Amino acid sequence: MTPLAFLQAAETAPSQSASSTLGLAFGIALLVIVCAAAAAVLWNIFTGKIDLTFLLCGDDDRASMGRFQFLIFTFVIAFSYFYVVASDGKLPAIPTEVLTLLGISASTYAVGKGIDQSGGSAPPDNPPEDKK
Amino acid sequence: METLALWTGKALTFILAAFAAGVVYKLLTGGIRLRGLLLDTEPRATFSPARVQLLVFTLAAAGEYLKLLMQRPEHSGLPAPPDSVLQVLGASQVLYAGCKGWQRLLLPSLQRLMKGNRP
Repeated sequence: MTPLAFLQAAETAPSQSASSTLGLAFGIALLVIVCAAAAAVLWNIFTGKIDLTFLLCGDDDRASMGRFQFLIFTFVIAFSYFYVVASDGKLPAIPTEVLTLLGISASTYAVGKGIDQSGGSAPPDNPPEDKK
Repeated sequence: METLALWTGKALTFILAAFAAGVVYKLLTGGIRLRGLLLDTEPRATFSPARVQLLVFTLAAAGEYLKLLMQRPEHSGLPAPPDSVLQVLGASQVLYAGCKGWQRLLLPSLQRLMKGNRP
């Protein structure tokens, strides 16, 4: 190593170390904040302060199949990711097919929402039986 | 840094799992409303085969994926669902959305049109 290269290395090494330490501290702080926020939300869900009664309901207060299937696939993929991270000890890559699966599910939810928002109703001379 | 990334991943996936557990608990105890899940609302509340087939194929696809997850080789990462599962699921979802569009959009329009043509 030439003297000049040695001096350059001596000058840059402390700054790289400081930058790395700062990044690590920032990451830990961010992780703690996110975990605290999630814990607060979970606590409020379990104590009933956040009401999930209508989580799966559409505008007509009936449960929506589009929302239900989207929820199932979201949780299945999330659980699978958790399982792989816990068993392999590293963050896995997400295959294109999994993204396609979630895309199909989300598209159906979005299309159903669009139909609900723009949907008409039956003519008034054909009322539902329960309103007679 | 790699350790931090791993712990971040573990923490976030644990949070997701906790949310999932909370929602499943609420579903099982009636804290989340499921009334009308398998019923059509237009023109009246009736049993819906389109919703039933979507529920069946959704549960089948989710079960198939979980089976793939349990049978995967060690350290092989997240399994990819087979194309056949994606095709069947896509067809099921298209059928559901098509039936919903027919009942909510096309059928009322046709009925209004027929009513308008009456003398």
